Amino acid sequence: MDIKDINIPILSKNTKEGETNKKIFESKGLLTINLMSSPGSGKTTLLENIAPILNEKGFPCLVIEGDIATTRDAERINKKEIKCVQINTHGICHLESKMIRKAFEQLDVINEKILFIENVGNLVCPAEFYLGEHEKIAILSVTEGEDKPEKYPLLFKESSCVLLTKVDLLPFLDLTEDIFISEIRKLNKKAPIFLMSKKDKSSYMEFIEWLIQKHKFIFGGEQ
Amino acid sequence: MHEASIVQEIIDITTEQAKQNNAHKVLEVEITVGAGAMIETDLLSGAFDVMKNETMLEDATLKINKVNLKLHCLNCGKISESDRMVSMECPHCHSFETIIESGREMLINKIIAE
Repeated sequence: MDIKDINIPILSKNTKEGETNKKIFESKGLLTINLMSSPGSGKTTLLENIAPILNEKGFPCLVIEGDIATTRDAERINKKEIKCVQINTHGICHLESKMIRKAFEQLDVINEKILFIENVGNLVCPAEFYLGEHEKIAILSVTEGEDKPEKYPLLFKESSCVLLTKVDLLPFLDLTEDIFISEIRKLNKKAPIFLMSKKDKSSYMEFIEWLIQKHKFIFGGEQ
Repeated sequence: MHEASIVQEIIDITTEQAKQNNAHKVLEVEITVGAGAMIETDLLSGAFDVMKNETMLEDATLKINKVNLKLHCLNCGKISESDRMVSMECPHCHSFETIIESGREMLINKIIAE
Protein backbone atom coordinates (compact mmCIF):
# COMPACT_ATOMS: atom_id res chain seq x y z
CA MET A 1 0.00 0.00 0.00
CA ASP A 2 1.24 3.47 -0.85
CA ILE A 3 0.52 6.32 1.54
CA LYS A 4 1.27 9.11 -0.91
CA ASP A 5 1.54 12.88 -0.91
CA ILE A 6 1.45 13.18 2.82
CA ASN A 7 4.19 15.83 2.97
CA ILE A 8 4.37 15.97 6.73
CA PRO A 9 7.10 18.24 8.10
CA ILE A 10 9.41 15.95 10.05
CA LEU A 11 9.67 18.40 12.92
CA SER A 12 5.91 19.10 12.98
CA LYS A 13 5.44 17.43 16.38
CA ASN A 14 8.15 19.56 17.93
CA THR A 15 6.63 22.67 16.39
CA LYS A 16 3.16 21.76 17.69
CA GLU A 17 4.53 21.10 21.17
CA GLY A 18 6.29 24.46 20.91
CA GLU A 19 3.02 26.20 20.10
CA THR A 20 1.43 24.60 23.16
CA ASN A 21 4.41 25.76 25.25
CA LYS A 22 3.91 29.29 23.98
CA LYS A 23 0.24 29.28 25.03
CA ILE A 24 1.23 28.09 28.51
CA PHE A 25 3.94 30.76 28.80
CA GLU A 26 1.53 33.47 27.65
CA SER A 27 -1.18 32.34 30.08
CA LYS A 28 1.35 33.01 32.84
CA GLY A 29 2.40 36.37 31.39
CA LEU A 30 5.90 35.18 30.50
CA LEU A 31 7.93 36.68 27.69
CA THR A 32 10.09 33.74 26.56
CA ILE A 33 13.57 34.12 25.15
CA ASN A 34 15.62 31.37 23.47
CA LEU A 35 19.31 32.22 23.91
CA MET A 36 21.62 30.58 21.40
CA SER A 37 25.38 30.75 20.92
CA SER A 38 28.65 28.83 20.96
CA PRO A 39 29.81 27.32 24.25
CA GLY A 40 31.62 29.93 26.32
CA SER A 41 30.18 33.02 24.67
CA GLY A 42 28.73 34.25 27.96
CA LYS A 43 25.09 33.11 28.09
CA THR A 44 25.17 32.20 31.78
CA THR A 45 27.23 35.28 32.68
CA LEU A 46 24.66 37.42 30.89
CA LEU A 47 21.81 35.89 32.91
CA GLU A 48 23.73 36.19 36.20
CA ASN A 49 24.14 39.87 35.50
CA ILE A 50 20.83 40.92 33.99
CA ALA A 51 18.37 38.87 36.06
CA PRO A 52 18.98 40.83 39.31
CA ILE A 53 18.56 44.13 37.42
CA LEU A 54 15.35 42.94 35.76
CA ASN A 55 14.09 41.83 39.16
CA GLU A 56 14.73 45.30 40.59
CA LYS A 57 12.83 46.81 37.68
CA GLY A 58 9.80 44.64 38.41
CA PHE A 59 10.49 41.96 35.81
CA PRO A 60 11.56 38.87 37.77
CA CYS A 61 12.92 36.01 35.68
CA LEU A 62 12.90 32.26 35.40
CA VAL A 63 15.66 30.27 33.74
CA ILE A 64 15.76 26.91 32.01
CA GLU A 65 19.37 25.82 31.55
CA GLY A 66 20.23 23.39 28.77
CA ASP A 67 23.51 21.53 28.85
CA ILE A 68 24.77 18.18 27.67
CA ALA A 69 26.05 17.44 31.19
CA THR A 70 26.49 18.91 34.69
CA THR A 71 24.36 21.27 36.77
CA ARG A 72 27.09 23.90 36.98
CA ASP A 73 25.12 26.58 35.13
CA ALA A 74 21.99 26.06 37.23
CA GLU A 75 24.11 26.31 40.38
CA ARG A 76 25.50 29.64 39.18
CA ILE A 77 22.01 30.98 38.48
CA ASN A 78 20.58 29.64 41.76
CA LYS A 79 23.29 31.50 43.67
CA LYS A 80 21.72 34.70 42.36
CA GLU A 81 18.40 33.58 43.90
CA ILE A 82 16.78 33.15 40.52
CA LYS A 83 14.47 30.19 39.98
CA CYS A 84 16.17 27.85 37.60
CA VAL A 85 15.86 24.29 36.37
CA GLN A 86 18.59 22.37 34.57
CA ILE A 87 18.02 20.09 31.60
CA ASN A 88 20.79 17.62 30.83
CA THR A 89 20.46 16.38 27.27
CA HIS A 90 23.04 13.58 27.67
CA GLY A 91 24.68 14.08 24.33
CA ILE A 92 21.90 15.76 22.37
CA CYS A 93 23.15 19.03 20.91
CA HIS A 94 19.94 21.08 21.23
CA LEU A 95 16.77 21.45 23.28
CA GLU A 96 13.35 20.26 22.09
CA SER A 97 9.84 21.46 22.99
CA LYS A 98 8.88 18.50 25.12
CA MET A 99 12.06 18.84 27.22
CA ILE A 100 11.10 22.45 27.86
CA ARG A 101 7.56 21.53 28.94
CA LYS A 102 8.86 18.95 31.43
CA ALA A 103 11.39 21.39 32.85
CA PHE A 104 8.87 24.23 33.01
CA GLU A 105 6.50 22.09 35.08
CA GLN A 106 9.19 21.95 37.77
CA LEU A 107 9.29 25.73 38.07
CA ASP A 108 7.11 27.41 40.67
CA VAL A 109 5.81 30.39 38.71
CA ILE A 110 4.47 33.18 40.91
CA ASN A 111 4.88 36.66 39.46
CA GLU A 112 7.78 36.18 37.05
CA LYS A 113 7.60 38.00 33.75
CA ILE A 114 10.47 36.67 31.65
CA LEU A 115 11.52 33.08 30.98
CA PHE A 116 15.02 32.62 29.60
CA ILE A 117 15.86 29.35 27.92
CA GLU A 118 19.62 28.95 27.70
CA ASN A 119 20.06 26.53 24.85
CA VAL A 120 22.92 24.04 24.50
CA GLY A 121 26.05 25.84 23.28
CA ASN A 122 25.99 25.20 19.54
CA LEU A 123 25.57 27.46 16.51
CA VAL A 124 23.87 24.94 14.21
CA CYS A 125 21.30 22.57 15.70
CA PRO A 126 19.35 24.71 18.20
CA ALA A 127 18.17 27.02 15.42
CA GLU A 128 16.19 24.13 13.89
CA PHE A 129 14.01 23.47 16.94
CA TYR A 130 11.23 25.87 17.91
CA LEU A 131 10.59 25.75 21.65
CA GLY A 132 7.65 28.14 22.00
CA GLU A 133 9.79 31.24 22.44
CA HIS A 134 8.75 34.77 21.52
CA GLU A 135 12.26 35.79 20.51
CA LYS A 136 15.38 33.99 19.35
CA ILE A 137 18.53 35.78 20.44
CA ALA A 138 22.02 35.04 19.09
CA ILE A 139 25.05 35.79 21.23
CA LEU A 140 28.51 36.24 19.78
CA SER A 141 31.58 36.94 21.89
CA VAL A 142 34.30 39.00 20.26
CA THR A 143 36.96 36.34 20.94
CA GLU A 144 35.14 33.90 18.64
CA GLY A 145 36.07 36.04 15.65
CA GLU A 146 34.09 38.14 13.20
CA ASP A 147 33.70 35.28 10.71
CA LYS A 148 31.16 33.31 12.77
CA PRO A 149 27.95 34.94 11.46
CA GLU A 150 28.89 34.18 7.85
CA LYS A 151 29.95 30.63 8.76
CA TYR A 152 26.72 29.94 10.70
CA PRO A 153 24.30 32.18 8.80
CA LEU A 154 20.94 30.75 9.81
CA LEU A 155 21.14 31.53 13.47
CA PHE A 156 22.19 35.12 12.82
CA LYS A 157 19.69 35.58 10.01
CA GLU A 158 16.74 34.33 12.02
CA SER A 159 17.47 35.99 15.36
CA SER A 160 15.46 39.02 16.42
CA CYS A 161 18.36 40.48 18.39
CA VAL A 162 22.14 39.90 18.48
CA LEU A 163 24.29 40.39 21.57
CA LEU A 164 27.99 41.06 21.10
CA THR A 165 29.67 40.11 24.38
CA LYS A 166 33.11 40.52 25.96
CA VAL A 167 33.64 43.82 24.13
CA ASP A 168 36.11 44.83 26.87
CA LEU A 169 38.51 42.39 25.20
CA LEU A 170 38.44 44.21 21.84
CA PRO A 171 41.63 46.18 22.58
CA PHE A 172 43.51 42.84 22.73
CA LEU A 173 42.22 41.69 19.35
CA ASP A 174 43.02 43.05 15.91
CA LEU A 175 39.31 43.71 15.44
CA THR A 176 36.92 46.57 15.97
CA GLU A 177 33.26 46.59 16.94
CA ASP A 178 32.46 47.99 13.49
CA ILE A 179 33.80 44.84 11.82
CA PHE A 180 31.51 42.66 13.92
CA ILE A 181 28.52 44.91 13.30
CA SER A 182 29.04 44.95 9.54
CA GLU A 183 29.44 41.14 9.46
CA ILE A 184 26.18 40.70 11.40
CA ARG A 185 24.45 43.31 9.22
CA LYS A 186 25.34 41.33 6.08
CA LEU A 187 22.90 38.68 7.30
CA ASN A 188 20.44 40.61 9.37
CA LYS A 189 19.54 44.19 8.53
CA LYS A 190 16.92 44.69 11.22
CA ALA A 191 17.91 43.00 14.46
CA PRO A 192 19.21 45.38 17.09
CA ILE A 193 22.83 44.63 18.03
CA PHE A 194 23.73 45.29 21.67
CA LEU A 195 27.37 45.51 22.74
CA MET A 196 28.12 44.42 26.29
CA SER A 197 30.71 43.42 28.81
CA LYS A 198 30.42 42.11 32.34
CA LYS A 199 33.04 44.68 33.38
CA ASP A 200 30.58 47.47 32.70
CA LYS A 201 27.11 46.79 34.08
CA SER A 202 25.70 49.85 32.31
CA SER A 203 26.36 48.07 28.99
CA TYR A 204 23.42 45.74 29.79
CA MET A 205 20.87 48.52 30.11
CA GLU A 206 19.87 48.92 26.47
CA PHE A 207 19.21 45.20 26.15
CA ILE A 208 17.25 45.18 29.41
CA GLU A 209 15.10 48.03 28.10
CA TRP A 210 14.54 46.08 24.86
CA LEU A 211 13.30 43.09 26.88
CA ILE A 212 10.95 45.25 28.93
CA GLN A 213 9.53 46.82 25.77
CA LYS A 214 8.99 43.36 24.24
CA HIS A 215 7.12 42.30 27.35
CA LYS A 216 4.95 45.41 27.26
CA PHE A 217 4.26 44.91 23.58
CA ILE A 218 2.91 41.40 24.15
CA PHE A 219 1.22 41.76 27.52
CA GLY A 220 0.35 45.44 27.62
CA GLY A 221 1.89 48.34 29.50
CA GLU A 222 0.20 47.91 32.86
CA GLN A 223 2.67 45.37 34.18
CA MET B 1 24.49 16.63 14.76
CA HIS B 2 20.79 16.33 15.43
CA GLU B 3 20.16 13.55 12.93
CA ALA B 4 19.15 11.03 15.63
CA SER B 5 16.33 13.35 16.75
CA ILE B 6 15.18 13.66 13.13
CA VAL B 7 15.21 9.88 12.65
CA GLN B 8 13.16 9.38 15.82
CA GLU B 9 10.54 11.77 14.43
CA ILE B 10 10.55 9.95 11.07
CA ILE B 11 9.96 6.63 12.86
CA ASP B 12 7.20 8.06 15.07
CA ILE B 13 5.33 9.82 12.26
CA THR B 14 5.65 6.86 9.88
CA THR B 15 4.42 4.40 12.53
CA GLU B 16 1.43 6.62 13.25
CA GLN B 17 0.57 6.94 9.55
CA ALA B 18 1.00 3.21 8.91
CA LYS B 19 -1.26 2.31 11.84
CA GLN B 20 -3.93 4.74 10.66
CA ASN B 21 -3.89 2.88 7.34
CA ASN B 22 -4.07 -0.53 9.06
CA ALA B 23 -0.61 -1.53 7.89
CA HIS B 24 1.65 -3.68 10.02
CA LYS B 25 4.93 -3.32 8.21
CA VAL B 26 6.67 -0.40 6.50
CA LEU B 27 8.76 -1.15 3.41
CA GLU B 28 9.91 2.30 2.39
CA VAL B 29 9.81 5.89 3.61
CA GLU B 30 10.49 8.66 1.14
CA ILE B 31 11.61 12.00 2.50
CA THR B 32 12.74 15.36 1.16
CA VAL B 33 15.66 17.15 2.77
CA GLY B 34 16.53 20.69 1.75
CA ALA B 35 20.18 21.69 1.50
CA GLY B 36 19.42 24.40 4.05
CA ALA B 37 17.96 22.00 6.61
CA MET B 38 21.37 21.56 8.24
CA ILE B 39 21.19 17.79 7.95
CA GLU B 40 23.96 15.42 6.88
CA THR B 41 22.11 12.79 4.87
CA ASP B 42 24.78 10.08 5.32
CA LEU B 43 24.47 10.42 9.07
CA LEU B 44 20.68 10.39 8.73
CA SER B 45 20.80 7.08 6.81
CA GLY B 46 23.25 5.62 9.32
CA ALA B 47 21.06 6.61 12.26
CA PHE B 48 17.97 5.24 10.50
CA ASP B 49 19.60 1.82 9.97
CA VAL B 50 20.33 1.51 13.68
CA MET B 51 17.20 3.10 15.13
CA LYS B 52 14.64 1.29 12.94
CA ASN B 53 15.35 -2.02 14.72
CA GLU B 54 12.45 -3.42 16.71
CA THR B 55 9.97 -1.00 15.11
CA MET B 56 7.47 -1.36 12.25
CA LEU B 57 10.20 0.08 10.05
CA GLU B 58 12.69 -2.72 10.74
CA ASP B 59 12.78 -3.83 7.09
CA ALA B 60 12.19 -0.40 5.61
CA THR B 61 14.54 1.54 3.39
CA LEU B 62 14.89 5.29 3.68
CA LYS B 63 14.77 7.11 0.36
CA ILE B 64 16.13 10.63 0.58
CA ASN B 65 15.40 13.24 -2.08
CA LYS B 66 17.73 16.17 -1.71
CA VAL B 67 16.56 19.56 -2.92
CA ASN B 68 18.72 22.60 -3.45
CA LEU B 69 18.70 25.72 -1.41
CA LYS B 70 17.21 28.58 -3.44
CA LEU B 71 18.29 32.09 -2.63
CA HIS B 72 16.42 35.08 -4.00
CA CYS B 73 18.62 38.16 -4.19
CA LEU B 74 16.78 41.36 -3.32
CA ASN B 75 19.57 43.41 -4.82
CA CYS B 76 19.85 42.01 -8.35
CA GLY B 77 16.66 39.93 -8.35
CA LYS B 78 18.38 36.73 -9.49
CA ILE B 79 17.69 33.34 -8.01
CA SER B 80 20.65 31.10 -7.26
CA GLU B 81 20.71 27.47 -6.25
CA SER B 82 23.14 25.58 -4.13
CA ASP B 83 23.34 21.99 -2.96
CA ARG B 84 24.97 23.14 0.26
CA MET B 85 24.24 25.72 2.90
CA VAL B 86 27.47 27.57 2.31
CA SER B 87 26.59 31.19 2.32
CA MET B 88 23.77 33.68 2.09
CA GLU B 89 25.79 35.67 -0.43
CA CYS B 90 24.35 36.12 -3.93
CA PRO B 91 26.88 34.53 -6.32
CA HIS B 92 25.90 37.05 -9.05
CA CYS B 93 26.19 40.44 -7.37
CA HIS B 94 27.77 39.40 -4.02
CA SER B 95 25.02 41.05 -2.02
CA PHE B 96 23.96 39.51 1.29
CA GLU B 97 20.46 40.90 0.89
CA THR B 98 19.00 37.55 0.09
CA ILE B 99 16.03 35.59 1.24
CA ILE B 100 15.74 31.82 1.34
CA GLU B 101 13.03 30.93 -1.12
CA SER B 102 13.14 27.19 -0.46
CA GLY B 103 15.47 24.45 0.66
CA ARG B 104 14.94 24.64 4.42
CA GLU B 105 12.32 21.89 4.40
CA MET B 106 12.34 18.38 5.82
CA LEU B 107 9.27 16.41 4.81
CA ILE B 108 7.95 12.86 4.80
CA ASN B 109 6.46 12.53 1.32
CA LYS B 110 5.45 8.94 0.91
CA ILE B 111 5.27 5.67 2.82
CA ILE B 112 5.07 2.21 1.28
CA ALA B 113 3.59 -0.27 3.73
CA GLU B 114 1.72 -3.55 3.86
